Amino acid sequence: MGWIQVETRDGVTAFVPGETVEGTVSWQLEKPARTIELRLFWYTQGKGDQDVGVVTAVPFPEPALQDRRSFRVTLPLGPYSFSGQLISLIWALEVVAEPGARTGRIEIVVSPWRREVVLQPHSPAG
Amino acid sequence: MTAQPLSNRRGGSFPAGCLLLFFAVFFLTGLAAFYFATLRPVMSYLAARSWQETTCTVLSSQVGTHPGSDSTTYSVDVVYTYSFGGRAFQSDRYGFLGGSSSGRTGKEEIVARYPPGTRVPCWIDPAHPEQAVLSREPSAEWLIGLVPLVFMLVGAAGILWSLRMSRRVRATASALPLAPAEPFGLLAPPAAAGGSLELKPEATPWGKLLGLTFLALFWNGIISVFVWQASVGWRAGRPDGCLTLFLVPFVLVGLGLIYAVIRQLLILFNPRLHLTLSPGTLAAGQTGYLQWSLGSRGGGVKRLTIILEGREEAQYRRGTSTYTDKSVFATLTLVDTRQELEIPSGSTSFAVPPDGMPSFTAPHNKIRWAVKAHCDIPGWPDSEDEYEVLVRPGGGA
Repeated sequence: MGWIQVETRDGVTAFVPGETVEGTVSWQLEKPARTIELRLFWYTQGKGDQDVGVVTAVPFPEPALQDRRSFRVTLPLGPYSFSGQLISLIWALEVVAEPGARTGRIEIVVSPWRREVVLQPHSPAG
Repeated sequence: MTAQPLSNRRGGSFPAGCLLLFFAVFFLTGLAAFYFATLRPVMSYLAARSWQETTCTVLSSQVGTHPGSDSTTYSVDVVYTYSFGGRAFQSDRYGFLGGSSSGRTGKEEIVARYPPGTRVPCWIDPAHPEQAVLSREPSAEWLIGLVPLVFMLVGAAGILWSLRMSRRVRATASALPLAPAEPFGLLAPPAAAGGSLELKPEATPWGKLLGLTFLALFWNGIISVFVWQASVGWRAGRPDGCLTLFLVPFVLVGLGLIYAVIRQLLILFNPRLHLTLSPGTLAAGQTGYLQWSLGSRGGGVKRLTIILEGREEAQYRRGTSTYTDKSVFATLTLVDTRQELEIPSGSTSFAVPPDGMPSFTAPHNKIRWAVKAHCDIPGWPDSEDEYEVLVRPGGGA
């Protein structure tokens, strides 16, 4: 049974916009992969149809069946991780091995407060 | 090891093909009906102005009866002969519309004017003498083509809308590997960089009126066909109670739309609210200034309310329909006054919450901020307008 894993340095999963995220990707595959890349992206969950925005992709050239690589990506200024009544926006780091669409993923939080912004219905704003 | 990479998905699906086909059917059906009912008779009428008048002899004349599944229609069946250029011709065309329609009495009156054997004036196309007509006058029946014209316009508007939406979604989808320069998925208006910005309402009173009129014509145009069918039954002494009962809610909606059109028409006479926001793009934690102007005397407005609202908007599809749900997460009252001296014009300052969520736009999910204004005018329809504003991240972000 193969596996793919993404880890951030020191296990940190909350970041501020513009910060650099460092970590490692490790995998053990049953079949060789032509390409393996790490993607930094966000996606929405909730009532609305899903939106996905891929910000950057880091390829790992010449992947072996079993390997461990480090990565370093810089977060954009937004959007922030948030959770509302209808929509949640979630950031993630995902490793994809092709062919076969084999993946490993971790979720991270991106906001100036290093926590998800919670949108409460009708809360006074001033 | 999870399957199906989430990052492979794209949020930009839009059923442009299905919608284009749907609206194309509307457009082509409306176009065909409009052409045969109105356009072709009008074109023939214009062409026949140069036709030559001559004398025809009526061979036979009667009211044609055409029984249908729902009702019977009638036609003017007149056959006549004439000579042109030394040759004899025969025609059975009375007017340019042709076909049959309801109403027997009118046809009987026409037929009575053409008893067999009488010599009557008729008009011949000199280029094609086999083309003749007994009456080349315009007919009120040609106006029936205005009903399918509504279908045609709906189809045309739908096609344009589908193409525009398709282009927009394609552009957004292709940009989804986000350009880092637009991390929140939207661009600030050029004038909003740091100076003031005159806010534009999302829908102008004229735009709302046109939209409502269009909707009312479309809805009532369709409903009127069925109401007509029901009325034919009632007039013939064979009322269809089920159909009549079934139509009641649809007719009520149609009446509601007519009320909405009249209400919007009255709103056109309301004073126009002009809002200027400074800075043009707000930032979380920043102080904003809003100026308003309603004209010299406020135009009868007794209460002016302006709020800044932040909300989520989630768009989703169920079957073939698209819905948008909204949830307000922040409301900030900027102005709420009944003072006669304050209502015509003034300014206010306000603080955008430091932890305010910035504006965000994706194809189906949005965080939107809007200034909403309400002008209360006693005894008259109130004005309610919305102006979208952008909130960018605060200085700490």
